[in-house]
Amino acid sequence: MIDNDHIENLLARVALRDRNAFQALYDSSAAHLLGAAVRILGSRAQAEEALQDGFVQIWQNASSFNPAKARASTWMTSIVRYRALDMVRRTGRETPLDEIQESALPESTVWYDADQEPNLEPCMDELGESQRMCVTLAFVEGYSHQELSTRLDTPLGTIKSWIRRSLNQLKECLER
Amino acid sequence: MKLNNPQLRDELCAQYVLGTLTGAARQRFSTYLRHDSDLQQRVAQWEQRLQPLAAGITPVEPSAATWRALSARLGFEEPAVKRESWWSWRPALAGFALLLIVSGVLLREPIRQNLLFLPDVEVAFVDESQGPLWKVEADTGNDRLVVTALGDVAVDSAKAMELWLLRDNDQPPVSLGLLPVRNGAVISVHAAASLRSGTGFAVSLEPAGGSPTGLPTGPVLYVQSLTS
Repeated sequence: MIDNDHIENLLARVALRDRNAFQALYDSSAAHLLGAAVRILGSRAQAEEALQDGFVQIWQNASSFNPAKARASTWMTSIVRYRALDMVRRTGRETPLDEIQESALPESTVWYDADQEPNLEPCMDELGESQRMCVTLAFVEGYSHQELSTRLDTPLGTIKSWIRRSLNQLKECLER
Repeated sequence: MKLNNPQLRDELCAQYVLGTLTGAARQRFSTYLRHDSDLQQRVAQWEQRLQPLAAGITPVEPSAATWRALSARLGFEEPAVKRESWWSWRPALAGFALLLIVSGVLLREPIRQNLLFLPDVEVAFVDESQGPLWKVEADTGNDRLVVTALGDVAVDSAKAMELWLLRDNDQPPVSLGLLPVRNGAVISVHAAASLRSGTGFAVSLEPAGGSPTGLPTGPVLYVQSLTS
C-alpha cells in the first residue's frame, strides 16, 4: 500500500515525463485496476486492453490532475473504470460473469491509503437489499439499467428509480 | 440534456460515475464535462463517494506483455531503468574514500592543494522511487565539486536538471551547473561561491540550457541539507 501523498508525488513526476515514476505508479496499482476492469468486462484479455488504454491516458493527462480537487487513486481508478465501461457497452461481455458475491463491501486490501475516504458502508447498509445490489452491480460489474432489469427480473422503470433514489440517499447519508 | 437544474446536474454526474448513464446520453455528457468545471467538480465528488465500492475487488496481476505493449505505445525505447540499490555502490564509495585517505597521508600539502580533489563533503540524492540519482562530492577547501550520475535520470528533452548551492539567511542560491543525466556521467565544477557558505544543495527542473534568470525557476525536486 502506498499513501496518497506518494501517489500524488509519482503523478507529478509523471507529468514531468518521468518514466521511472510512471513504472512505479504502474507497479503499485496495475493489479488493482486490472481487477476492477476484469469485473466489468468479464474477460481478462479485454480488461488488459482497458488497463493499457487507461495508463496511456494517465501518462497523457497526468499534468491535468489536480490534487486539490481529487485523490490520485480515485482519479486513476475512474479512468480505467470508464474505459472498461465504454468497452463493455460497445462490445458486450465476452463471457458470462461468475456468480456475484452478495456481500456489498467485502474486506480486502487496497493499494492506496483509504483512511480518509468517506465511510460508505453504513450508508450502503441503510439501502434496501435490492437497491444495494443494484448500486453494487452497476459500479463493480458495470451493469446497465437494462442488464439489472434482466438480472433482477424487475421492470426497467423500477430499476431506474431504485438507482436514482439510492444515489440520492447515499449522498444525503454521507453529508450527514 | 437538461443541465440548468442543479439537482438534475448532480443526478447526471452520479449516474455517469456509477456507469448507468449510457449510450448517446453518456457521450453528450462527456462532451459537456470537458468544458464545464462545475460538472467536473460534481463528478470528482461522486467518484470519491463511490470509490469505496472498488475497495473489495480482488486484484488481478497483469501479464508482462501489457507493460511491454504500454511502453511501446508511449514510445519508451526500452523499459524504465531498474531500481538500483543505494547499497550496491556503497562498497565502491568506501574503497574510494580509503584511497583518498591513503593519498592524503602520502601527499604533501601544496601538491594536494593544486592537484588533488579532496572531497570533505559527500551527499547523495536518492529518489524514493528511482533510487540513487547523483553523488555530489565537494572539496570545500578548493570550492570544487564532482557530480556523478548514479542512474539514468528521466527528463524531458526540453528540460534540464540544475544543481544549486543553498546559502544561509537571505542569500540567493548559486547555480552549480547542469546535472548529468546518463548513468555514470561525471561533471567537475569550480563553484562560483564559497562552498563553506553553503547550507545545502538543491536540484530544480529548468528549461534545457538551465535557468534563464540565474535563480531556480522550475520546481525544486530534491533538497539535501548540509547542516549535520
